[in-house]
Amino acid sequence: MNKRVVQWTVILAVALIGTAVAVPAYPQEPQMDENFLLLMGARNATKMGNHNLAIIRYRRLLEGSPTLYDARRELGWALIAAGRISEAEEQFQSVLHAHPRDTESWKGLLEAGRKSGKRNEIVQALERLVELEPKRRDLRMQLALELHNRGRFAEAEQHIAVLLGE
Amino acid sequence: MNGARLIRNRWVMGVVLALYGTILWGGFHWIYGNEIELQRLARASDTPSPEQAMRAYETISRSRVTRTNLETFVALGNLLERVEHWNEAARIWRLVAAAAPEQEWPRGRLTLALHNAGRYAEAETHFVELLGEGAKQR
Repeated sequence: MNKRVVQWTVILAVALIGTAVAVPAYPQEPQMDENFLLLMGARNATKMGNHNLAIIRYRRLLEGSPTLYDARRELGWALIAAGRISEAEEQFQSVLHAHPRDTESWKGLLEAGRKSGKRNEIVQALERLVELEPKRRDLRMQLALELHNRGRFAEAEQHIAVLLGE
Repeated sequence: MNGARLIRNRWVMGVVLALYGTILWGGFHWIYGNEIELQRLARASDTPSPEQAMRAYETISRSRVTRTNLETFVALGNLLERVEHWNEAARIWRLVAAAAPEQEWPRGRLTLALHNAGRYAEAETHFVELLGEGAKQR
């Protein structure tokens, strides 16, 4: 056999073995999506009670992906936990602008209304929630009480009649 | 009966081959039994039972993680996540991350496992680094 052919065969064999050794034998997985990391990081911060850090992460996430409404709603709750009620209301309103029937955002607005003592907002949120979830007796009860406390007895009566099965 | 005649005897050769095959098969399963069981559990479409997953964890996690057996540990980590044994999964991802420090994804998996295990403070240190917040603070 030609000496040169032998040489090249040896070189190729060494190169092949070298490549096989150098190529990592472990699975290459895709890098984690930064949005997912930000969302989980924000949730982690919330669990730790560090609401301000959670808010920073939610905002960073929403800067890049403003249509992530689940994250926006969670940001609303984080803002409520941090006592930044008006900012929380903005976030819930923003979700409701895109999804007017989003019950979770109405619940967020209800909570924001309770924290800030805005009675009209509380009634409005409860009315919408009862409309969206007519079988939730607890919500109807809250609405009836709220209407009663505000002197709107006739309206409260309608809900009480439903609750009593009359 | 001399050796040559013994080799020519079909029955003798059949028995020898059968014994050889049995030893090979048995040896293979003895060495790779845990690995085979792990791969079976990892590929199962139904969620495996936590007991089976823990058995695989206890046997496989005794061995040292190297680059050559990293795939086994990745399969084990995935399996432990499927049965929601987050503390054990976190331990496996930590080992994988240490064996392949240039890779970011095992660190991400470790972080999520710690979060799901309720170890929020530990997870937080990793989140800060993964999100590049440490560099910003400096």
